[in-house]
Amino acid sequence: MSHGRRRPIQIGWLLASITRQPLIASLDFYCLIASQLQMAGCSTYVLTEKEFTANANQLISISNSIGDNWQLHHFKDGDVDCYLSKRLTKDLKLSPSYEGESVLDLEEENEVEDDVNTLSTASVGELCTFEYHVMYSSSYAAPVLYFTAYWQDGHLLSLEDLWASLSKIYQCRLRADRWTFVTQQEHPVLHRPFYQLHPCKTGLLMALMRECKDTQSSHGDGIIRNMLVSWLSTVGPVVHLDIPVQYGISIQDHK
Amino acid sequence: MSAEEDASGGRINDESPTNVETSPTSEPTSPAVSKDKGDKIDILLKATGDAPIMKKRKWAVDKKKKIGWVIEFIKRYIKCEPHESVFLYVNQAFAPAPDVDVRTIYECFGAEGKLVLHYCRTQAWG
Repeated sequence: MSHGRRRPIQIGWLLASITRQPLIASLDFYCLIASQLQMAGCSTYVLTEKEFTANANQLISISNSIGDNWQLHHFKDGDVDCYLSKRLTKDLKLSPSYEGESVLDLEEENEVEDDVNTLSTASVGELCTFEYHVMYSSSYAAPVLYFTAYWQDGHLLSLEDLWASLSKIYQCRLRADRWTFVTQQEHPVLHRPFYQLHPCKTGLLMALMRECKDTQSSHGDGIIRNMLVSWLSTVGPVVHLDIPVQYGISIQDHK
Repeated sequence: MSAEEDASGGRINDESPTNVETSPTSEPTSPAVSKDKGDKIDILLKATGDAPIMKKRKWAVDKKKKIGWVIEFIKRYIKCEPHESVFLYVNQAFAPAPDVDVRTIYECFGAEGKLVLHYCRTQAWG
């Protein structure tokens, strides 16, 4: 058969057929390819399943010693058989100026702020319960933060409310690029919709953390790390998950 | 000596920390002096990855300022693009939450009168 000589075309056709998948799946596919390409170009950190499990166990032991309420759940699927979870209730204040900022121009925005109804719902803090799950993703070789949140009356926190609830220091970054932040995904174990902090660049972020070392000190590479805690303490505060400083201290003392 | 310190303390600017060192190669102030500054802590900022190096690395920062404020300051200083974020690390492995104050972090991770903070610039949030 003459087809043997035309292998490149066949591969092209194969790729095309893969990308003809449903929108969400192909987005995820592109994201994965993009992160793989970045892996080839820049340094990235690969967190192995073993390291994830060890880090998770260390996190749990610190959590137990300081009463931070993290829990370890076991399930049977693949190489990683555990995930972490934590539930906490926060007084959430939605920033009033957020409303309509991207849609309305300045004049109209003033009108929105004058509206008594908008202000009364937006500026008052309400209790919101967050549930965070930290899982391992074999595809990204990285930990992934899933979370869901609900108000006291039971209705779920919407994406718009989540955006509006972000602390002032993250608002600038959010305005510049809000779509690479969180995605709603099916929870891999519970099969319920959860928000997922986008794992595309987690590997790069972890590589940056690894570069973070004191070049002057002779024991530069003797740093005791827990990549899971380093990563979680970096990205957690963005979605209201603060990691107490005791984790940083305990890991250093854990030698 | 104390009058001088009081004078510099009185000049605390809310917009930016007081610069205590103009050249990165010059000697850092002695720990004793730094500790006696009362409401200020010496912070040493070190760049990681492709983050630009700050010409002045050592800053005296009000103890009550939050970590988030330091992040904002660095972002302005190194002229971050709006889509970029700056993260701070202590002990080269832990990122303190933005609403923790500098004093707490100094008490936990500071040594010899100063607190070393590594900063990295990234587009990532996940």
